[in-house]
Amino acid sequence: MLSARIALLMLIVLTASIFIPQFYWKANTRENKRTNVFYSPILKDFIFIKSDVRENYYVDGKGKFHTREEFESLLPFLNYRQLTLSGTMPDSIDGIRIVSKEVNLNNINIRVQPAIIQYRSLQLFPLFESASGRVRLELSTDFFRIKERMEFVTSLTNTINEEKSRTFTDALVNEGFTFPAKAIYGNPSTKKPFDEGYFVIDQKGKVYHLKMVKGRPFCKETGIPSDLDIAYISVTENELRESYALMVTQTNDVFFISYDHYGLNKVPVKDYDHTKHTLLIKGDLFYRVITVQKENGYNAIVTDRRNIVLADTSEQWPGEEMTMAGVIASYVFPFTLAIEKESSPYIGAYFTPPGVNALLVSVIALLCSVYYFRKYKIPTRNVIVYSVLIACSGLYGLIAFLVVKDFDDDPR
Amino acid sequence: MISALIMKEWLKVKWVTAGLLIVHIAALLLTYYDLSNLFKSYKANEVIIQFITFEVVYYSKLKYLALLSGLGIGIFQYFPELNQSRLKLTLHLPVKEHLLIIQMAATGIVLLCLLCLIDAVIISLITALFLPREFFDSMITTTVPWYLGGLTAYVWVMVVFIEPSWRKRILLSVVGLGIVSLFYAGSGFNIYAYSIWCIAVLAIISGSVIFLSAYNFKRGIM
Repeated sequence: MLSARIALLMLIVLTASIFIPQFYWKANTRENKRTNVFYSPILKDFIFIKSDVRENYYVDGKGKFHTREEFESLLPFLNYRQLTLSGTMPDSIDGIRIVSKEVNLNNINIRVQPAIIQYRSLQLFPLFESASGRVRLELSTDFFRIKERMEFVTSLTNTINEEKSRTFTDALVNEGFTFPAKAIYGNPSTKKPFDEGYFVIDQKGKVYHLKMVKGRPFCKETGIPSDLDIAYISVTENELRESYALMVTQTNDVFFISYDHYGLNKVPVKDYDHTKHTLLIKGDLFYRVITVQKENGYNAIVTDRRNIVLADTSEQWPGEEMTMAGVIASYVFPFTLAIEKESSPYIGAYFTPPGVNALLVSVIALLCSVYYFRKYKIPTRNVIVYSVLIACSGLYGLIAFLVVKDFDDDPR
Repeated sequence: MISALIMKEWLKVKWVTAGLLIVHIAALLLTYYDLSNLFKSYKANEVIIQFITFEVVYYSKLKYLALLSGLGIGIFQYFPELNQSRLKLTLHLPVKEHLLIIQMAATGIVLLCLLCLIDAVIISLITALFLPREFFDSMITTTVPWYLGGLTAYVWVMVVFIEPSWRKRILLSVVGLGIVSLFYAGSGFNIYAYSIWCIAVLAIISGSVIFLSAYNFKRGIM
């Protein structure tokens, strides 16, 4: 019966370590504060929108506060529509004449979140006709998979389109593709200006560009080094047609895949961990701002359009662990277990290891239990399990002990 | 004697099982007709891209069915034991206590597994009829935690009903509720893809607690 009792104690510790901290943090949620980082072509300095639940504050790099109107005029590329409406859009900046169409074309916004990188969608994709001659993209009537070969499944009949499958498989084989595909990246949506198809990683780590042009396969080995260990490719499909995609490697390097023979342009990032941080790239006619958003801060780098770093900035703010609630939690909870976390789309056992502070409560819990055992004269051999449990899991172990409180040592 | 005991368990739960079977069949039929009507109302490729993009769980009607069944069978099987102190007599029969408990639990678990199997087979057929096999694979990893959740709920109903102490009964209900909720977290496809074995182990560990409650009951440990 000892094993069943240990099982019950473990289950109580497990549920306590998941739900007690969860309730605790729900009751102690902090007000959410955000900082959006921009680079002003007028000030030649960073400018920020710092927002809380009440208001947006517009602050420049020197700490000077601005009104919303001032902020908009300091970021004419971002706010060109508003400035055009109010008639305050400058004709030229730094001697360069501003054309609305060019401004619009060069404004890019790319966001890569850790959950997107880890997310694995259903491995079934529509292949659009990239050169249909139509204004809008049209959804194909079939979907493809790349396993032992490339297969097209006709959606209406749920059967394989053998002819199309053979044509595309042959095209991939001729380019040297090794089946099955390790990963397929693209935008399976008709809501994009044009289609660049998919970037497919084969079994050897080679990256292939695959699309359909006038009903025929377009398949090209990109020459991207196979040892890069790619974590994610975000196909951008931007009218600017400067880069096909943004690529993140397992070693946290970031590249743009250029339209120029799939050349890699390294994006300067600092302290980026793709499993934890969100990467934001905001671009305009003059600059690119690359921001790494962390749980308790950010760092940002600004480059010109030739990818030369011009300036950087960073900010760190006290994390939850520095608040009163956080300090209390560090003493009370020996460890926490969560089944969900923001940076992952999957359910898992996300363990936060114990800190030194928690030892104090664990020792107090252990002393309380020892006092109880002595008071009720419970033989030592009957309390070993409880003592070990409380020593290892502090408060949770104490709760488990108080729930079970059963010292009958049936030897079976 | 074991077969007589199984018959005793069956007599307690046969009507609730029949009722649950009707509910399961109704939910499966609804799922079939909903899916079939979608393919009649929209182009097949539009339906499929919506399913992929928004992770439409077209079999969501099954989500809490195994849980409902686990609770239903568990309550109908163990409430009379609690109410009329029948379990005390059963545990004093000349059969090993472990065997008695296993046969009691096995009766409910087998019935529950049969209901889950019906769900799994029919929803697989429906999926294969309308959708590519990727949907089948994701459906399996999405629904298995629901079935395991139903089995775990049954186990905790048994643990709580057999437990003789009211104090522990209430506390164990809270623990059971927490454990069972772990099988129904999140939404979308495949979210248990990397933790399915963890929750399977959790279901098995939960099962072992039954013996402790039965042991406490027989000896009247409060």
